Amino acid sequence: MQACLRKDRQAQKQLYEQYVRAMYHLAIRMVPDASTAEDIVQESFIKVFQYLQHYKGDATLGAWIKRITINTCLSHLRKNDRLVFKGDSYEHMPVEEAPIRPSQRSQLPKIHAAIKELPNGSRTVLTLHLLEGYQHKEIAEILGITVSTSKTQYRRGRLLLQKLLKEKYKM
Amino acid sequence: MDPLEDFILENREELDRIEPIQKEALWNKISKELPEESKLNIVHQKPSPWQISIGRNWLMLAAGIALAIGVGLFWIASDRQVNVSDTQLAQFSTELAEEQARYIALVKAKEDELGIDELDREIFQEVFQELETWEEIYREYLIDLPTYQAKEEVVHTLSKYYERKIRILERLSREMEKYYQQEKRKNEKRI
Repeated sequence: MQACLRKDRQAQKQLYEQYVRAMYHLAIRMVPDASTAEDIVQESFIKVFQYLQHYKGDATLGAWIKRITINTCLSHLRKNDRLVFKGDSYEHMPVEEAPIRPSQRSQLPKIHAAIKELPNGSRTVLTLHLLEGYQHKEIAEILGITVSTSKTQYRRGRLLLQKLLKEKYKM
Repeated sequence: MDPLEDFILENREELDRIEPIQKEALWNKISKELPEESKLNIVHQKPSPWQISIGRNWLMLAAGIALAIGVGLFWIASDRQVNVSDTQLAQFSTELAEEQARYIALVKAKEDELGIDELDREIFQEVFQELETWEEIYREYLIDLPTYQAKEEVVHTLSKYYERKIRILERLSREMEKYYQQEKRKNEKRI
């Protein structure tokens, strides 16, 4: 980290190597388009190196880097009016069905693909809560929504994911 | 949690290995946008103690040399297993000694509160790793300290180290709370 602060290119590359996969997958889940996700990772890493001196250690370095990536994704979604939270009411909630019980790692690419197909709002909440470990209160603050909307969007995302995996991906 | 959520969490890391990434091409794009390597490293840019005018800065120079010898001897004596908190930076001034004592007390209180010596380091590996990294960085600072010209710089470096350490300990506290809650939920589930 010291070397990164001195803008040592080798050290910067090491940091990049360490986090690029996680950042890219986070980006592609939030903005499910490979080329846009690459642009977001690029922009995020530039910010990481630019602001590294301000990292205070409140979160792990990985969490801090991910937060920068999340903010970059959200800014992109907002700029393109793509961050809409539809179907907040329970009338629009997909029906709860018998839960699927995945058991093999070979099923993970299907799950990943299905997450990318969810509507923007519920996909964003599901990604932040289930995959990145944010609490609904934090998500509400990050997205500027209520805790209740975050919970509803999560439930909606989870049910839609089950539905997609059953119907489209035959799990 | 339903079985799908459980499965996703159990295989969380695998989910970050699915998409192919053009790592080298992407790095090339990023590195083109980054500013050139800094040649203005604060510590190394300063003139060496030998270049400092002895007439004007003799006190700081003497303190610097004394500190270097002190740290060096302490380091050798402890076979390089320096516990940074115990390092006698107080040689700089009484004011600095008081400042250091205040920080050491804060860190000690926090460590006692967390029962840090009895914690399973495997569980909180990431935080302990960061604590170690931070200690390493601080040891580098210690080596460079004799080249510092102003006491303010020493105080700043010292404060920065302890403040960061306290923040990391606070994070450890949050991680512990999170972990124990998860464990509690798991146990409730089993019951």
